[in-house]
This record gives sequence, C-alpha cells and structure tokens, in this order.
Amino acid sequence: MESEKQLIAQVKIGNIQAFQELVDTYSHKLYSAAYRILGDRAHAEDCIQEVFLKIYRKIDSFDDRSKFSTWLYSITVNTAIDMQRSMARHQHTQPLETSVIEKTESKHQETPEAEHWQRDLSKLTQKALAELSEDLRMAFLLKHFDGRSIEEISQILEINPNTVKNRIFRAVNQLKKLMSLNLSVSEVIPYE
Amino acid sequence: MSSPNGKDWSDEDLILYFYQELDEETRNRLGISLQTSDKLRQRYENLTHHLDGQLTINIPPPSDRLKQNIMAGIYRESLQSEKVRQDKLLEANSPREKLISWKRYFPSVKLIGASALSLTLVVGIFYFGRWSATIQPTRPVADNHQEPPSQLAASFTDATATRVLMSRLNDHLETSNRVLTLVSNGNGDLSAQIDQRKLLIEELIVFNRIYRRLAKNNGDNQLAELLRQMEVLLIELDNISTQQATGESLNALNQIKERMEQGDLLFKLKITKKKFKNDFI
Repeated sequence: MESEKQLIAQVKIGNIQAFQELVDTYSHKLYSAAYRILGDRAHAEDCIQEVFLKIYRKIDSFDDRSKFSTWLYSITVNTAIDMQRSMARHQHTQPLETSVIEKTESKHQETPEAEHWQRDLSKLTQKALAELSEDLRMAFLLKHFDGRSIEEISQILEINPNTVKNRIFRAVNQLKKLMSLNLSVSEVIPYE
Repeated sequence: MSSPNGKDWSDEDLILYFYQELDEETRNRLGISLQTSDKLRQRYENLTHHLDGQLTINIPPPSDRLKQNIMAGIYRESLQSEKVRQDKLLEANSPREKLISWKRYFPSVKLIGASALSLTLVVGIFYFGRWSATIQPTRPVADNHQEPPSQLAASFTDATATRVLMSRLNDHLETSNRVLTLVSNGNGDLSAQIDQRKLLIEELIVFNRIYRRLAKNNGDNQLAELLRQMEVLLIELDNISTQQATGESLNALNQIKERMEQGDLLFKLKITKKKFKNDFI
C-alpha cells in the first residue's frame, strides 16, 4: 500500500483508485464517529457518503502539512452536526431509545446477560450524551471514543486547546451525574 | 507538589492522566503518587470505572454496500465534473465565446464601435454627396432620409459593436500589410509610390495608435507589440514621402525594409491577420 501522502497526491491528480484506498482506510472510522453523533445507522451512512463527496471535491484545498485524519474528522464532525441540526429542525430524528436499541448489534460473542448489560449501558450512555450540550458532547466524543488528541480536537472544532480541556472536564463530570441518575446507586461508584 | 495522600491532584489532572494528555514530567509524578497514595488510587479507579466501564456505545456495523455506495457517488461526481470541464472547454473554443473574450479586452468597445460607425457614415455621406452631385435624384428628398448616426450607434448591441471594431481592425491590418509589402517588394519608383499614399499612411498611423493603446490597455501585449513595430515604420514612411532628395529617400526606404525583414514584421502581420480572421471575422 502506498503511503498516505502519495495516495493524497494521486487523488489530487484525479486517480479514483487511490481515492478508493482512502475510502477503505477511513470509511469505518468516520462512520463510527458519525454514528456516535447521529445515533442512527442510516443517517450515519448518509453522512459518510456526503463526507467522502466533500473530501473528493475539496481534496485540492487540503494542505499537505496538516494531518489528514484531523482534516477528515473535521469534515465528518461538521457534516454530522449540520445533519443533526437539520434533522432537529424537521423533527425527523428517531428517539435514541428505539434507534439505538433496535439496530445495535454486539461485536463480540458474549453471554446473553453480558450482551444485554452492554446494550443497556450503550442505551444509557446515548441518553446521557444526548443531554449534554453540543459543544461538550463533540469534545468528549472526539476525545473518549475517537481517541483524538486535545490539539487535534482544537483544530477540528476550531477552538483553543484549553477550551477543549475545559469542555472535556465538564462533560466527564456531567456524564458522571447523568449516569448516576440512570444506574442504581450500587452500580455507580463515585470516584471522589 | 503532591502530598503522599494525593490530595493535591485534581480531578482534571486525573482525567488528563487517563487520556494521556499530561506532559511527561507531570505524568511521572502523578504515576508515583498513584503508587504511594491509596486514596488517590481509589479516586483514579472510580474514574476509570466511570469512563471505561460505564460509558460505552455499541456501534452497529455499516451496511455491506456502504463503500460501494460511497464510490458510486464519487464516480458520478467524477463524470459530472469531467462533463462540466468539457462543456467549458467547448464553450471557450466556440466563436461566440471568443467574441465575448474580445469584448472583455475592449471595455470601451461600444464607444469605439460608435466612432467607427460615425466615421464610416461621414465618409459614406461625403462620397455619396460627391456622387449624387453628378446625377439627378430619382426619388423625392424626403425618401432619402438617413437615421442620425447617434441613434444608430445607440441601437448597437455590444456584440454588433465588437464585430464592427474587429472588422475595422482587420481592414487596418490588411491595408497596413499592403503598404508594408509594397516597401518590402521595392518595385519601381518606391519614393513616388509612397508619396502617392501619404494620406493613407497618415490615416493608418492615427488608427494604429488607437488600436495599439486599446490592445495594450486590455492586456493583448502580442498585438500591442506588433502594432507598435508597425507604427514606428509607418511614421518613418510618412516622413520619407515628404523628403525631397530621392537618394536619401531610397536609402531610408532600404533601411526600413531591412528592419522589417530583421523583425519578421510581414510574417507576424500575416499570422496575426490569419488568426484574427479565423477567430473573429
């Protein structure tokens, strides 16, 4: 496989095979990021198709000195946020309870009880995340689930790194409280 | 900074430690504190339990056709952009577009067109007057009504004005070519021939200056340069025709001829004329 820089250079001169390699490399990661924001498989897939079209159209504007994955996440997050706002305006969003629970499949083979527990936790996490403000949620999702560095998140969200840190702290604390409300007292162990 | 029981480490420090966002030195210090302080270790375990154990999102796998759908969209986009590119190329090469691009070269094209039309009308009226003086009018005077030039000019569209200008410029190049070819061939009494065309040369100089400035102002440097070279030679020719001594005239004419050949002026003129005719006329 060619290096990422070579691939990007190939895409810039119109090589669609090279673009296919980028799709192979990044589509699943970006789909996951979009799913965590949108909470629905079909919407996440639509979002990712839109994201790759944008990437194809804008690839010439990508500065080779920047990190490619940061650029991709930036486009994905912005597209997903736009979709979410648009859906919220048109009230087409399915409630998280049904969209997540009905369509979620467990990756690993687990006991039915463990699988059930995981699905419950996933549902509660989605509910708790949905109660966060958009700013806190985006910073937390990119850090916790996508493993982006604070520096990258500051570039993706176009905010100061200290603001990113602050949003992550607030998100963690709010999530702790929200999860405590949803789980029984015995299941939640406070860390203070 | 930290006490053995870890009281000085904040939740924010622990969160940054969990996400590996602390600088190396702070990270090492906190790592040591975690080993020595049970209370701090307990706080950290609670945090990891919350972040790792409780916060989880199961992501359903995307449909098998996701990548295919993405690439189908990309191929469609690629075809569309290729089609748009080709359409633009075709449009750019069409005579109409070329005419429009010339219109961009000449923002004052309407004015020039109107002037050219007025000049044509004045010359036309002059010759018509001379011609009509020799014959009896066959129609009543009222029927010979001419629309005033200003009204005609106003009714001109940009495209028409551009065509008139291009046509006039082409005529100018054609006439200049004829005069310069005459010098280049050098047959017969050249001084006398030039002298006979004095008025024509003067007119060519005036119009050449206008066209040169237009071309220069509108960025057609190639045409402007050709017109500049022509202008210098035309002015010299105009001066020669007024000289009395035939020997001097011939000498000067030979020098002009030599410079024309050195600069390939006639060849350049021919190429420009041909290109001009193909593109605009």
